[in-house]
Amino acid sequence: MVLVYNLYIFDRHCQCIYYTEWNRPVSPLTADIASVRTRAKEVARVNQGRSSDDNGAASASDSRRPLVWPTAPVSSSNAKDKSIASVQNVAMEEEAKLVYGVVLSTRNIINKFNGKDGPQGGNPGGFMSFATNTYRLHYYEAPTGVKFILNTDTATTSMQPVLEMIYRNIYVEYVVKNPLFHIDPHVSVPIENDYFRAVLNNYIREISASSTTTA
Amino acid sequence: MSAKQYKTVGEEAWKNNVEKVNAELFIFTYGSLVVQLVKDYEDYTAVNKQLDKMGYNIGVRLIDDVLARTGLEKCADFHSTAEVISKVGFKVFLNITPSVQNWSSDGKEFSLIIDDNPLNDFCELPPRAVQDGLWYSNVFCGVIRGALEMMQMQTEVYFVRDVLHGADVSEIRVKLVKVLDEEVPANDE
Amino acid sequence: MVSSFAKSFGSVLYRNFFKKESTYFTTVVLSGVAFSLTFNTMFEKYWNKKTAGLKWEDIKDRRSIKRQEEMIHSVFIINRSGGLIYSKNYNTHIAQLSSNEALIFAGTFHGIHALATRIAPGGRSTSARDMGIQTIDTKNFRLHCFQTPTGIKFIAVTDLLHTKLTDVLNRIYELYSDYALKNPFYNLEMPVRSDMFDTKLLQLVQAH
Repeated sequence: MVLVYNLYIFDRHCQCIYYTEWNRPVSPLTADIASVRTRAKEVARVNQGRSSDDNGAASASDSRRPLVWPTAPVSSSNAKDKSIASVQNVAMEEEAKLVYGVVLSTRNIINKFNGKDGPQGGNPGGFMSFATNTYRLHYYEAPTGVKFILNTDTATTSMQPVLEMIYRNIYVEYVVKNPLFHIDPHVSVPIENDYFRAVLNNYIREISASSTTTA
Repeated sequence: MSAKQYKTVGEEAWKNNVEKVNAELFIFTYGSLVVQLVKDYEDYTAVNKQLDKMGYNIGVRLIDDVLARTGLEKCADFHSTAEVISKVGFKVFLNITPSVQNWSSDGKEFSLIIDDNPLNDFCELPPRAVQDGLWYSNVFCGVIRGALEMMQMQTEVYFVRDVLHGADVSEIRVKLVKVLDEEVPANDE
Repeated sequence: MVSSFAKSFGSVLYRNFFKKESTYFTTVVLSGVAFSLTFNTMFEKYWNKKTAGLKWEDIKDRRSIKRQEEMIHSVFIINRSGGLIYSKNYNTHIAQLSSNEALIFAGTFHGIHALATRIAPGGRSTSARDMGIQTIDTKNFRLHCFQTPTGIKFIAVTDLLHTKLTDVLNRIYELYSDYALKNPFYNLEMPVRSDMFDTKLLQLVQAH
């Protein structure tokens, strides 16, 4: 069993262009204002499944469709939904920045250990993952500077092939080759591509179910 | 990696390439596109520019496809970049391998010599177009420029001569302007 | 013509080599040695040519990490506020950090170690509190970190075969408390300068 928590994709402009999560009990995307306050009391319940009274973006997500971000603004006349969405956006942006900062600093010190650090960046030192006692963060950087970050349980040691697969066969096929997806090399564009989401989601589901990928 | 290895990589990728589009259809498409541009802009320099822009937009995407298909890593120097362009890039998409020649002494400029450009098949430029300097395959320049920019290299790419202008071979000049730094997040603490 | 030549050649051969048994024997031995020598050198030349680039001498450097298995490349100790108080390199498998770079490394690692706890995708409020980075895996080496409850970080950079280094880092912690903390002249949070510590640590590293 591989427990996959979430996936971030950053483009070459340091922007998170895609985020999605699978088994995350508490996340900026599920947190609405009311439940933030009561979160502490509800932990046990939330852990069992996403609480049904979560509003906004959370209501759109039944257990089959994982949460994604950034999404198009919620077309809702409900002022409360909107404010929730904006709170979630801010929280998510903060988190993305945090993740990016940590990962990039780690990559850079490893490049330094290999004597290969430079302003051009890249991952010549071969940073693959780091682990804390609660999760393991896997990192893959495509030669064009697109960065894939996947969080799993700590026992899953190598997800490099998985991330490479996501880049080579899912990202390139469904995002880069999609003519409707505007790749502007100077501006970040979030991935809002249903095919990509679906394929990625299936792939992760497959991995989570298989026991062989755990080394 | 040596030039020979790049050649193998390119050939391997070409072999595994499943043909989906008939080559003639592609040549027709490209031809009518250029002709339409000529009609719309009535200025060959502007057409060159448009072709370059289109190529650029192709290049920034196409690079990921090349990398994904071949699993190549970032090049160590500009010489290997040149080899990859000719032996992998051109090979995979056009099944030709232009030769890399005329290196400048500082190693920042080289020429790609193309003897057999598939886009040129069936094409004869009208004298006006030759005279005013229409580079029929200028899209290549944009593709190379776009692809290299995604690899952190800012380049100038332009046609020097073209078979369609009566030269014996076509020559594309690639000039490395500078290597771009990786972007860092704004207001990073 | 040919037969007469062969005949005379044969008689010369007979007179000089086969007539006397000792000469015959020596000839056989000598020619045997000569043949084996030439055969060996020629075959070796052929072999070398054929296997150029594949032999052990050629790939030894590339595989040295695997060959010299179980190896600790370097050790760092970082104090509570992210200052580097000890650093030592034991071999040249990884780039030597200059003292300035080592300080930067310590500060950066201190930062990401703390921030990593905030990423906690498994939920921050689960019973297991996130304790920060324990290992970093890279293509060439693995970095292990052990943080004491008092906030001192012991870091070792090793080959990829070391999967768990908790014991060794714990031992280093013991050495630190023995030879630094127990020394009345040692100032807390300051660089460790103790010959005894150096020696003991070297012994420990060499044993792993």
